[in-house]
Amino acid sequence: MASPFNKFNSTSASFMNGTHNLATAQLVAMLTPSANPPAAANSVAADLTQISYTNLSSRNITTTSSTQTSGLYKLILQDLLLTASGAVATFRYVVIGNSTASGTPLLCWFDYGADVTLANTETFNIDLDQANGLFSFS
Amino acid sequence: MNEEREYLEDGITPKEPRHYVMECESGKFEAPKVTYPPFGTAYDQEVIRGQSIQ
Repeated sequence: MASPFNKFNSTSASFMNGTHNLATAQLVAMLTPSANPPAAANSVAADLTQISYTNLSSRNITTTSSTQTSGLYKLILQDLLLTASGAVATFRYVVIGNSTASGTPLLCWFDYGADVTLANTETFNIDLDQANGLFSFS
Repeated sequence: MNEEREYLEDGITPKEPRHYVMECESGKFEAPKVTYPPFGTAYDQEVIRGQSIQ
């Protein structure tokens, strides 16, 4: 079952107020445990209670494109495969933020729906929509 | 470490590693669409009349 896109209250205003340049920004995935879910009122990374990332591969997300066609903007991102090189702390939620902008403002979050505890060599694939993008804006 | 798993002799590598996938739905931000009737409709004529009066 696909995980719905959840925006933060601050997301729309951050677009309009120049917080992001999504064509050049380095986006990053942040993980939180079930005891500390992201909330709509969160706006920057410091608002989250993230897990320890010991033994986890890079959480940086590669941007494929940030363009519009006939007035429909899409932010297309590559899937992110997280790989464990040892035991990783348990998490459930994935938050995507902009680590280029000051304070790492948050864009959106997804709920896996269950706890995930990665052991050595195990993987967690954040499978992003390659057709419609992380989000579209029309 | 998840105790439900069986591990290789190194004690940290599962015999059957798990590979999770989270399919993420695309989000959508939509501005209200402003649509106009085809040019030359009664609506347009009323607007034009209105403008000419002004």
